[in-house]
Amino acid sequence: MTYWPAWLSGLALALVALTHWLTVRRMLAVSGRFTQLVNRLREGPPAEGDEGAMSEAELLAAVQAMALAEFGEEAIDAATAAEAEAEGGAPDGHTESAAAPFAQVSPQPLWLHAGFLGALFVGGLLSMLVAGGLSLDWSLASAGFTASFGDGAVSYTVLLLGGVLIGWGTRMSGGCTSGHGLCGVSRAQPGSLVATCAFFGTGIVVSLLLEALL
Amino acid sequence: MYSLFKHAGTLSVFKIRYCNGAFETCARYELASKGRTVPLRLMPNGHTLKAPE
Repeated sequence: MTYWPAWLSGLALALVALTHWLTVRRMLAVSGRFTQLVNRLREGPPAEGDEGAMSEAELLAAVQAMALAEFGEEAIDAATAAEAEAEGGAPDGHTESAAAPFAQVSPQPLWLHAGFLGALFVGGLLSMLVAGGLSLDWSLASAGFTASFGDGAVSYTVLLLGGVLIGWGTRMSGGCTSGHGLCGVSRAQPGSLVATCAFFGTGIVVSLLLEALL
Repeated sequence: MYSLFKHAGTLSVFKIRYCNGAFETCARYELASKGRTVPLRLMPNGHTLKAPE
């Protein structure tokens, strides 16, 4: 199989992430979409009232009323002053325009999550066709993997265990390689930098260890 | 929802009390930490914002 050059793959991935942001206004996240899809299938559609239409002004007014009822005016004034001081500006009283970024985020339909995950499969097929033709490969993994673990029950177990560990780590860190590695690192998010160093670093170390030991 | 709270103003009280404070009592955090879907309008205090009737 002929792979794309690394630089071309990098450019393509960047283009996909940018296009996703420009069209959907959300960060590219494969595991996030998979989680959303599973949750929607498990829990059903959002509860009534969650998707009811609310204008930005209504939304803001509702949150303000709730804040007033829960914390009281004195606590709100203190928080406003503290927040303004921390930001280096003067307290701005009860005026804000915070609803705009929130209003852009709304639940996405099930078909969009399924379509995105299906497109990953279709994209893989297309890249194979572009690279010179479609050829199915039923082997478990690379020659190095087979040399290390064979092609019997042990190799299946190792692959299954690896998949479970990847899924567990993805849930624990709140994202996968696309979310942390592509979008988080490019935005210099500290959590994503740590996560990416952890999973790539661990992968390199384990590969070197396996190569030395097996 | 956090994008609504992070701006200075009356709503920052939610961020101070929940996001930066007793986050373990935040209803949104509780659901998210269990891997459940967090309703868009679920507030940290467990109430859901309703559209006016």
